Amino acid sequence: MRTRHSRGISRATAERLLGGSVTADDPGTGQLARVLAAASAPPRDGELASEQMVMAAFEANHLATSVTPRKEHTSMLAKIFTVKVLFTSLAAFATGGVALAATTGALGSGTHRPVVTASASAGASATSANPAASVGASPSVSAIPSAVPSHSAAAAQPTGTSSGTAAPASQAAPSSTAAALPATAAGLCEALAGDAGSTLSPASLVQALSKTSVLQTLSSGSAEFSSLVSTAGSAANVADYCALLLDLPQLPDPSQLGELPGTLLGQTLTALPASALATDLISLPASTLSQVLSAVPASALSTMLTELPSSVLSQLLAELPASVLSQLLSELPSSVLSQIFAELPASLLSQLPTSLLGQL
Amino acid sequence: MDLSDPEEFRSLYRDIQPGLLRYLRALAGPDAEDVASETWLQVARDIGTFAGDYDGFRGWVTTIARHRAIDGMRRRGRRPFGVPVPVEEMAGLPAADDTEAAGIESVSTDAALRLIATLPPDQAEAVLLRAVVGLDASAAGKVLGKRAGAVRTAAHRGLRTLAGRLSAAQAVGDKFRPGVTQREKLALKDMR
Repeated sequence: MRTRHSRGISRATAERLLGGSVTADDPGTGQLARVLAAASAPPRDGELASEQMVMAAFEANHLATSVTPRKEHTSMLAKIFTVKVLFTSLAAFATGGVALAATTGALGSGTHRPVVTASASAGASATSANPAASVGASPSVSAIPSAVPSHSAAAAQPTGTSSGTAAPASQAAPSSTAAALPATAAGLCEALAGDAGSTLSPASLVQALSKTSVLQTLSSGSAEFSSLVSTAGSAANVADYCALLLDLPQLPDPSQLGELPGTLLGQTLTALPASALATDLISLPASTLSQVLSAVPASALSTMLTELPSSVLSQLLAELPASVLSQLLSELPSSVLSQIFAELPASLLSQLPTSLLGQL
Repeated sequence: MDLSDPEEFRSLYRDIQPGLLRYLRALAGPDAEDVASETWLQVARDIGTFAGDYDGFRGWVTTIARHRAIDGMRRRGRRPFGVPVPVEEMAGLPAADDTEAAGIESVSTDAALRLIATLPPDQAEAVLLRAVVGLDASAAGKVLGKRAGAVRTAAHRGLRTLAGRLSAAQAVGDKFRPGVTQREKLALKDMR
């Protein structure tokens, strides 16, 4: 179907067309120029729809890496700490002497001071800016021995409890999954990605974990990785679990995240720095986000929601169906609720049942 | 270029995203929006590792997007450029009756992209990266892992093929006066 006309386009003409310097009036190439101009026409509605989400991710990242946080960030962080310490104190009463260590990742970088009065009422010592201070008895009882290697430069690991690890401490009754978590889970993940010497970059690790050969290895019932599979619930869940454990820049399979056991999700997500948590949650499809937030224990949910920057928080909550949002919020203590309501846009608040608002 | 400035980052996004999304739609079909969003999240997170000028940034973002698109398709067992354009995009096309009189003049962005996407993959990609994403031959070569000359050749061939399809459609159009949509159906039929 070629015509003489089509052969008439020289290489030089092609270059001019691609560079946009041929007008539609040009007799030989006008049609083609029109097609190319239409293909590169100015943005249409919907093509910039992700702008708000992208900017929220940019700001979340900026928040974690900027050396001198802006004023509003400081005041917001102070608020977060008030709630977090208060919540930690309340939880200490509720669980009666079980050791806690709330990890806050990048937020605990020492430039912000927790509000001491809140924690003092519970008799806990929170004299340093590091909220990983243990409350109550023996600090290592429920500390989970999962060493999290710092792969992310932005990850400010909390200087932890006596165990010296950045153990995510879910004070909810230690579950069987937590007890079964091997001390070398992170090491197994690296081995799975073919990175025994910890030499790969985080991005290469994500790629390595995304490979189908990884899933094949896991599905083949290899004894070496069987503990990862049983902890994560299934072979298909392991890649995302490892990404969380190693604090990798992306989830290999975001839509699979909701399949992880809720307790495990709570532990790994609360152990992430705030910026990584924000990026991971924002990358989830809305249905997976609902699944994940509904699956994590209420205590972990409180920690996560209060840790997120307000722009990210309102963005995320706006994605949830009203019924899911109500259900989630009804599980939270009122101190956390008041913190979250302060961040929500009015349009979202109006969708909530009045019974929830009445709790405040 | 101050990449730590949110407003600067926003204007880069607004400039690059539309062309990137159009390229991804041809490459990855219905996954395009997701791939583009994931790309920008990765860019927002890894921006500290980027060093270079504006054109370098455009190429960097495009490279990330292409890797993500191809990895995603591989996991789903799909081939690049193998996904038909989603049905809802047909709604954006003018009806045949409306275009009958106007002919090819009123070609829409979607129709143009669909036409380009019917080219062999290497030609379609070269044309899209250069004319739609706005990369020069050497930047497009870096994205594709090819030399600039190879990209020029592929793009040149792509344009020649397109011109051939257009004039064939014109010839048919002169006889039957079909609208843009029907012409494209003919072009698509030729490919199969």
